This record gives sequence, C-alpha cells and structure tokens, in this order.
Amino acid sequence: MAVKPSQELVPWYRNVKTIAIVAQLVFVALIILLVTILVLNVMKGVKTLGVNTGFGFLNNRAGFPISESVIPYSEDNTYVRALIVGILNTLKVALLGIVLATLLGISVALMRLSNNWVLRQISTIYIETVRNIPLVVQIFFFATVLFIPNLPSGVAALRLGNLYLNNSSGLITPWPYFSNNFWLWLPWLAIALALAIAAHIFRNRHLKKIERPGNPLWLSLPVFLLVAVIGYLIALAGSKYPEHLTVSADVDRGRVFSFIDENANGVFDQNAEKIAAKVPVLLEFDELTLEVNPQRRTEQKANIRSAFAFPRLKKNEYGEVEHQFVNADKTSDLRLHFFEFPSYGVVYKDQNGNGRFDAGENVPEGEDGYEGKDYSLQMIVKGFKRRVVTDNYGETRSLSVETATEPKLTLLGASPMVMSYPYFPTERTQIAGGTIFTIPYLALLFALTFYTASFIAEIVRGAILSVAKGQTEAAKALGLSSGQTFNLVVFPQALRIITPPLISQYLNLTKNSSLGIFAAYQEFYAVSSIVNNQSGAAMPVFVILIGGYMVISLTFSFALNWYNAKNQLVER
Amino acid sequence: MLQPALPPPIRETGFAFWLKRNLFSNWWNSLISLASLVIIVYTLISLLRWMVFEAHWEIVWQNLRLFATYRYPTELLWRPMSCVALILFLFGLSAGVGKGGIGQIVFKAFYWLMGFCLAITLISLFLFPSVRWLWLIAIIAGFAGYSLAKFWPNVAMYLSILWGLSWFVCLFLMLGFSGESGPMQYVSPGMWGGIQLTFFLSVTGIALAFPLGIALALGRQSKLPAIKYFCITYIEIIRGAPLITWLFTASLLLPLFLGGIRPEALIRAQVAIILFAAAYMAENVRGGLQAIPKGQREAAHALGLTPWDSMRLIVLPQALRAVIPAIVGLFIGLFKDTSLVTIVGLHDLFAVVLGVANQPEAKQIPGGIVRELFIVMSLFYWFFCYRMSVASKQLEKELGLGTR
Repeated sequence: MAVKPSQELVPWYRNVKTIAIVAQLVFVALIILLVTILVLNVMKGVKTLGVNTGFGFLNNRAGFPISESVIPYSEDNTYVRALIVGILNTLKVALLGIVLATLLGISVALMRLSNNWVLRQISTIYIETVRNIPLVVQIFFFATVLFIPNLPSGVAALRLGNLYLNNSSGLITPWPYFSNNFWLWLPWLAIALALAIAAHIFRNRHLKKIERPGNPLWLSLPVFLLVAVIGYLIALAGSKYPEHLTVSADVDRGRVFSFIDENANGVFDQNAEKIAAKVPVLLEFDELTLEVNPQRRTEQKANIRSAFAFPRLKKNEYGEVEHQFVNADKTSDLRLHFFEFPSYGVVYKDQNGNGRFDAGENVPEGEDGYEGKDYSLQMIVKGFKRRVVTDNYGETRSLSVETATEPKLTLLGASPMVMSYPYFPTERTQIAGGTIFTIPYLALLFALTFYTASFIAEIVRGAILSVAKGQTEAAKALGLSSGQTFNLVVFPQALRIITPPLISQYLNLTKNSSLGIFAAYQEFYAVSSIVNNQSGAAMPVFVILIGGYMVISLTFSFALNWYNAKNQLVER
Repeated sequence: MLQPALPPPIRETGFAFWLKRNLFSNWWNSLISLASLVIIVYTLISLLRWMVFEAHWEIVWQNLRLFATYRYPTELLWRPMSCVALILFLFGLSAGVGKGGIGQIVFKAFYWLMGFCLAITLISLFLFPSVRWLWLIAIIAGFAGYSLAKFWPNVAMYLSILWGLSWFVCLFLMLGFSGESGPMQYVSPGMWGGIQLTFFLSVTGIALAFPLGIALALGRQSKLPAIKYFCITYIEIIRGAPLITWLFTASLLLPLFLGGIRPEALIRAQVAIILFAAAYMAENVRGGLQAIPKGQREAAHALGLTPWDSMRLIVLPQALRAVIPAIVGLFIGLFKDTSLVTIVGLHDLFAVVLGVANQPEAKQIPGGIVRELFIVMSLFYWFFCYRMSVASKQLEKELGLGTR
C-alpha cells in the first residue's frame, strides 16, 4: 500500500517551487528598479545635457560627405540614407574579406602541413606573428606604413593594363554597371538561375544514384553561363535608349552631360527633365590643346623635381601629339624627358650636354616658378577619340581643354550592361570612370583578411590533423591518389569540424570591420559616430548602431548555422 | 643456399638526407624552396640595411617615456615603478612556490617577464638615468620574491589574497591621494597612458569580468526563466556588437544613465571593457560547466550537498580549471583590444604612438618615422601576446585538454 505523501510536510518558505517563484519575482523587481532608476536618470540627464531622444532627426539633411558609397549619396541626402550607406560599406568590406580570408587561411594551413620545410616555416611565422598583433596596429601598418608612403601619387599610378594603383585614389579597375536596358536581361538571369538550380539538384541525385563522386557544379555552372550569355545577346539586340535622350558637351567645364530632353530645346530643364545615367558616349576632337604647369614635386627614388603630367592618354586615343613650352624664348634651355609618352615626364636642363636626362639634372627652383621664370607646357593632340560613360549624375568630367572646334559626340550602342574604363581627366590626382577601391578600403580589407586568415589557418590545420590517420591509409589502400585522398576523404570530414569555429571567425571579421575608422574607411560605426556628433541624438544612434550590428550578426549567424546544420553528420 | 647480400639501407639520417626530404624532394619543391629562400634572404638583408643605416631610432628612444607612462609626472615615476616591482615580486613568489606542470608554466612566464624587464633595465642603465635605479630595484624585487618563496613555501596559501590586494595597492600608488604637490599627490587618470594604461585596462577588465562572467554563465544555466532569459539577452546583445560600439556607448550614454554626472574617460572605458569581457567570459565558463558530467552533480546530491555547495565545491572548481586556457585566450584578446580606447580619448600605447608619429620633429624626417614606431609597437604587443599564447597552449596540454 502506497503511503500518500503529506501535503503539509514542507513549509511554504522551504518549498522549491515557491522559492523559485519568489526568487524570480525579486530578480524581476530588482531589474525593474534598476531600469526605473536609469530611465529617471536619463530623463534628468536629457535636461541637463540637452540630448536629443527622438528618431525624428533621421529625416533631416545629413550635410556631411561620405568618401565612398555603393549607392548614390550626397550631402543633401538624409541621415537615414547616410546610415544605409554605412551599413552597405560594412557589408562591402566584410563579404569580400570573408572570401579572401577563407582562401588565404586554407592556403596557409596547407602550407603549414606541406612537406616543404621553407613553406612550413613561412606559414608558422606568419600565423604566430599576425595573430599576436592587434588588428588596429595592422590597419595602421597597411594604411600609414605600407600604402600611403610607398605608392606613387596621382597620374604616376602603377599601371597594369586597365588597372591603376596610386595612393590618392587607390585601386581603379574597369567595372560593369547596369544601364536602363538591364531589365531586358533580368528575366533571362532568373531563368538561368532556375535552370542551374534544377540541373544542380538533378546532377546531385544522379551522382548519388550511380554512387560516383563528383561535383554537381560542373553541370549547373555551364548551364547558368550558357543561358545567361544567350539571354544577354537577345537583350542586346532589343536594347535601345529612351526617347529624347540627348547628350551635350560643355567644353569649358570639361563635362559630357546626358539627359532626357522632353521639350526638345536642347538644354537641361531642372524641374521637368530627368538625367540619364550610365550612357556610353564617344567623344571626338579634331584638335585640342592641353596645358599644364610642371609641379614642384619631389619623388624619393630618382629625386625628380618639376615633373609634369598630362591626362593619361592611351595609344588608341590620339592620332598625333606635339609638345611645346609656352614662353619658349625665356625657357629655351629647358628640355623634356618622357617617362611615359605622352602623359608623364620631367622638365630638365641638360647640364652635361649628353642630350639625355640624368639624375640630378633638375630645373633649379626659384622664387616664382623655376629659376624665377613662369612657364607652362602645352600638348596639342590631333584626332582624339575617347569612350566615356556618364555616371549616376548623368555627367562625366572627361577633359577640360582648349579647342577651336566643338567635339563630336556619338552615342554608343545601347546594351543591358555598360563597361566603364578608368581614364584621367585633367585634374591630375583624380581618375574617372571604372570603379575605385580606395586606400582606406584596401587597408581595412588587407588587415581583416590577413588577421582573420591566421585564425582560420589554425582552425583548418587542426581539423585536417584531427581526421584519423587510418582514413588516409584506407584511401591509399583503395588506390586513391594523394589529391583524391585529400579531396574525397580528408577534406569533407575536416569540413564538418571546421564549420562551427569558422562561423564565429566570419562574425568576428564582420564586427572587426568597425575598426575601419582607424583607416578613415567610413563604414557603419564611423557614419554613426558622425551622425551622433552632428545631431546630438546619442540615445537613438545607440539603438540604431547596436541594433544594426545585432541584425547583421544574427543574419550571418542564422545563414551559416543553417548551412552547418545541413552538412553535419546525422547522429543516431 | 646462401642468399646474396642485400644492399645497405638508404641513409635516412644526417643533414644531406634532411635537406633532400624537406627542401628538394622533387623538382617543384626545389623550385619553391629556392625561390622562397631567395625572397626571404633579400627581404631580410634590405630590412637589416634599413634598420641599421636608414631608420631614425633616435626619436623612438627620445619618446620611450611617453610610450611607457605617457604624461605621468616624471618626478613621480617611482610610483608606477613600485607597482612594477610589486608585481614582479608577487610573480617571483608564484613562480617560486609553483609545483608540477603548472608551476613549470608559471616559472617560464616569470622567466620571460624577467628577461623583458632585464632588457629594459639595461637600456635605461645607459640611456635613462631617471629610472635606472627604479628598474634595478624592480628586478631585485622579482629575484627576492622568487628566493623568498624557496625559503618559505607556505606563502602559497596567501598568494591569491596578495594578488587581490596588489590590485588595490597599485591603484592607490598610481592615483595617490589629495594634494597638489608632494610625493603622494593626486595624479588624475587623464594623465595615465601608454603601456601602463594598456596593462591596467586589460588586467582590471579580466579580473572584474571574471566574477560577473561566472554569474552570467550560472544564470544562463538556471532553470528559472526570468534569470535565464535575462542572461541570454545580455550575453547575446553584448556579443552581437563590436567592442568599439560599446566604448562609444559607454562614453556617450554612461553620463546620461548617471543623470548627468560625467565620470572620467578611464572609468567609462573600463566599465565598457568589463561588461564586454563578462559576456565572452560567460560563454567560456558555460563551455566548462557543460563539460562536467552530470554524474558529478548527482554524486554531490547523493552525498547530501545542497545545490549551492555542489556548485561551489564540486562543479565550479572543475569547470574553471578546464577553461583556464580559454580565459588566457580571452585575456590575450582583451590585451590586443585595449588599443581601441583611443576612440574615447584615452592614451594607451597605440594612441601615444599615433601622437608621436604626428609630432613636428617626426614630420620633418622624410617619410616620417611611422615604420620605426610600427616595429617597436608591434614587437611589444607581439612579445606579450606570443608568450601568453605559448603559456595557454602549455596549460591546455598540462590540464589534459585537447589530447582526448
């Protein structure tokens, strides 16, 4: 017979359930008390410190520039848009950083496991050095120690084909932009994606059925590319410019401007008409004159002074080029030497009379120009043709020139995407066209990549080492080559161990991008702090800042954990 | 029937074989080895040439005091130096009483720290007369602590109390008390900086985050939903945003939460660092708690221990022991991250270096002195972080983690 437990045995103050409830009530009461005190303090503080607490300020004019932006932004936009630009800049550096850090990390891990002693030592030294130095110091290294003092400035940019690298702009590359005809191609892209996914799934199932190793990407990727290319060609055939598209050249201001001229008066009417962005135009001059004053420049390597730089011209851009000094009678003993014809060179005095520029044959500097003489250098270019693409504001600053004849403008054929190539307008430190990866962006990207890769390398190495040796031996016994052993046996097993810590490294990288402020890269944190300084709205900015980072972190975390859950072993 | 004699085995030892196996095992390995060796030798030679002939180390030497203590009054330098002496003394004691594997690790840490201090002492003996005796005394204090522990091993019992007390003593020594002049005059935290501040922020941060982190970890494991979800929310929000945003928040909102009182920048940054580190500490401790088998707690229950006692006497000691390497890792992270406090106007080592790089004297040198400063600063951070990470790896081995 079971004994009925007495209800009265435990007094209420010793009942675990009661204690739990009371403890929680006390805890909640304490929290409420704390929050109340804080809120009261904040209300008092708002009065004494004069802080803004509402979110209304967000629609005010931002009034500060942001040096780089993925979407069009100007000082006249609102604070909201400025903050969005900040978030996009954070994502821009974080996403590319994640890809590069993963690639570098895996390579370094493989180097550390290789049987080459030198590679092993290099990767070990790399890992042990980079992960033990603060990220801020590394950002400082890339921006201040490596890039800015060591890269050439302005038009003297390092150049590889259409890529330019200098310390005032950064890395300038050709870049494809969407044009007004992009929507013609969009359905084809969607179809290509759908077909590729279908092919991927089909191939995956097929491979599983026939029990063969293989990567379904080898089917889905070609399918995607094929459909996309065919679609592009069809869209290209159907592309056309909007009606009334007009392109005008404003030679004095050196700009080409494109807009939709609805009232057909040939002039842009600000209230009624729209600008047209991303229009490729061919600009042709019969003859034009460019003029520069040789600058007082000191370059460390060759100690060059009085170097000159015209807008950089490409070989296919000119027919004939002539150079001359203005005020030639006073400066007849000056000569030219080209480092790069016809754009970049040095003005020198042939002191030893060998007809060549030698180091040290600089033009002595005087009070007013060189040797007290004021002169300039002129370049006359005949048969000039340049392809330019107008930017988001419908204009391009292409050349500011002196010319007797108006330029001839030809609209290049309409297409879904427009390729924009970099070129030099007359202002010698700026490059137009293409897209720019600025020095702050590159410095932050490099630092994030190298720093995070050192952690990823250790994760990958540990995971590869943790795969039981018997697995490798078994694979060898089955006759697999060492490449196959790694790709089919070791790496897939290591990947399961790698994924969770890798996710946390990706999140770290994203959060660490907030240090961009030390390289003057304006990402989310930097923009928020400017918004706070300008508006004085500390509370709302705090909520937006923390909330923004939470959203980014949680989104990354959910996406990556979903991937992880999908690829983990199903344990029984 | 006699078998023909086998050929002698291929030599598998010796330098030539090592070279063949590690550098020249096949043609592309040889190519990689030679190419990287050429690049390394070239880089090292140009670096050495630059360091010996071109670098402007004199500006770095002139500013060493700024790097160490920033604007701390020169005539009061004996106060932070006594802190150094005290810490070396306690470290000596700890190294002296240490036994077994962990004792070895503490001894090695002490050994390297003394090496570092000895190097600085040698430098100051020749270059910095104002602190040369102070450094000598600090070194002697370190040796004294070590010897004392050898004569009086019982000191081990008091070590944790001594370490705890030393924090207050150091704080008192560095702050001083009221007064405009005199040997114990008040030095506001605004005057602290450099390496002194870097160490203070990170050590205080980890020390105070430790109890808070344990509380949060236990709260997260709690069965009481109110406490559990509060802890989860706190931990996830803090970990969701980078440290720099919390420093920013503390510097802007702490005055607001305190009703308009503006604490010193140092206190605001320190609060942010502690609250930030506590969330990460909580996650580390939670890892340790989860690693303790349930049987331990059940056994304690069977012995009649209350939940509180079983946590205090059985679970926590094991869990904390298991997470020591993770805590060292957290400390390394915090040590590196203190370089962010420049954002709230504090002058830790990184901020001082930026300041020195922008001095007019430094700007006059062509190319500036950023490279020299970068090398010195990186070496400092690298030395401490690397030694700590080595210690952390040894601890991991010693505690038998990672070998299972």
